[in-house]
Amino acid sequence: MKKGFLLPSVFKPIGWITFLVFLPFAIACLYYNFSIPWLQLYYPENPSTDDYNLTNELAFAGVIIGLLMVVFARLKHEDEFISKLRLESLQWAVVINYAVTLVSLFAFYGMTFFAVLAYNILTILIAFILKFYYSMYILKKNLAREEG
Amino acid sequence: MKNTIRVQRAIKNITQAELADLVQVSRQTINTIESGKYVPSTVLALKIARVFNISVESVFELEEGD
Repeated sequence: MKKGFLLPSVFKPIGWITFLVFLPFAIACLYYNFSIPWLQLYYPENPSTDDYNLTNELAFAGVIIGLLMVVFARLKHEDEFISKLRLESLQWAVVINYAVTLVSLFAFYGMTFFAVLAYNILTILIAFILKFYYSMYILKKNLAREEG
Repeated sequence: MKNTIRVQRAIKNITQAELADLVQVSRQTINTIESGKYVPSTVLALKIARVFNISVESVFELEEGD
């Protein structure tokens, strides 16, 4: 079997840890105006609208990269059927992602809409993780049921 | 597509897990192929046929509607 572009399976726990470490950072930045002083790029003229502190960017990037690692980490035993499951989960995740985007388009307006859109960046990764690992769980359950 | 893997396994007296190990896939894959939920790649089909020492057409058969 050709090597795909999946990461080694060790990246799954690394990804979860990264995600869980950066998630509180991101929440702190968003809701508690947390910022690390030495990450300030420069002091803008208009502090209320221009944000040149990199803390929130780093926190969000950490969350995204953590989830990306979980998505692209290979399982311990990859084979062609699991590749097919992976592809189907990815297709499903894309559709769900745009369904959420379209609903948000009409449900939220103004600044709220942009905030929702920022969360929407993660929807595809989360949808894939849920669908793929749920499919694996159902598969294992069916297998155990057939065995017994 | 129909397949006779279950029959061939019984003839050769091996379990799904053993067949899976022989062709280097997971047991889930063999299970889904046997139940007709998944069509294996050509390479996998050839490997399975080779385990049973018969031709691929004896294991896998096209159905109406394929």
